[in-house]
Amino acid sequence: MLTTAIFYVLSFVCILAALMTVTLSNPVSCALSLILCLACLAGLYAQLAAGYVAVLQILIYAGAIMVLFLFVVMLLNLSDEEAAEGRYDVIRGLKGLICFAFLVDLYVLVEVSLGGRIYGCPAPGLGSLEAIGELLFTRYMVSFEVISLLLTAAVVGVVLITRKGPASALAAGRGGSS
Amino acid sequence: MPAPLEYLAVSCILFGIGIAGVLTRRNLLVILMSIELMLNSANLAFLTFSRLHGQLHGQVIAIFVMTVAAAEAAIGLAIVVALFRQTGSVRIDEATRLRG
Repeated sequence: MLTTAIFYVLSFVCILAALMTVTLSNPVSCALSLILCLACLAGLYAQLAAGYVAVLQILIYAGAIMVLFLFVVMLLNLSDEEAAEGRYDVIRGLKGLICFAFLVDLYVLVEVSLGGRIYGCPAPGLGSLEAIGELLFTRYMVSFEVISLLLTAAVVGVVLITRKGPASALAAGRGGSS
Repeated sequence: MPAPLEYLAVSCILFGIGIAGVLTRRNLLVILMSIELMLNSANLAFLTFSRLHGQLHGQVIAIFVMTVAAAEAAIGLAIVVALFRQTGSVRIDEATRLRG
């Protein structure tokens, strides 16, 4: 009973914060409400016997990624005029309507394909660090290595993209080496 | 314990809100945040199915999705900074230099 009550509170706050994320005009408020939404999602993850993923959600998402977002928002220091959204015309309203139709469609699909299924009994230690680590380094070994490559490529890409005067610097570098 | 359908309903709603954000907002930073929202709703679905079947594979995939989201956020924010240097704004309707 308590689990159900916690679920409803968490999902209500989560959806409300998500709505605030896409509707508020100030990017800093958007980022802060997204942090609230992610924290509530971490609570939902913990309810689903995924304690380790919940901890990662707080540490990586609400911690690292959102701090990066806030850092960039403050670095750019946008004025209200630059962050303004422009007027809401018919086409944008239509887009929102299409999203709503898509949402209903998605839910009907899920309900039809899943209706009435309930949980099995969770295996003891489901979601524990040992079990996840073992799976990560045996069956998902190749994916794990590919992910590390992806992160390295992302770091190199970020350095390349944010370099000052990219075209001229690259040309100079190429000219010097050849 | 709430039924799996209720968790999946939350997941669907979050995904719909994320798509609405991507399609209707003009601020590139908010669009990136909406993409993060959509990735998280996918994670919630993965974890629900992991719990439903009593298997750990969904949780491992969720960790991978989180890593990809971190890389995506880093690249996306780098593009935002580069765009701001070029045009002095982060509104995507002003980034029209590649339009023919």
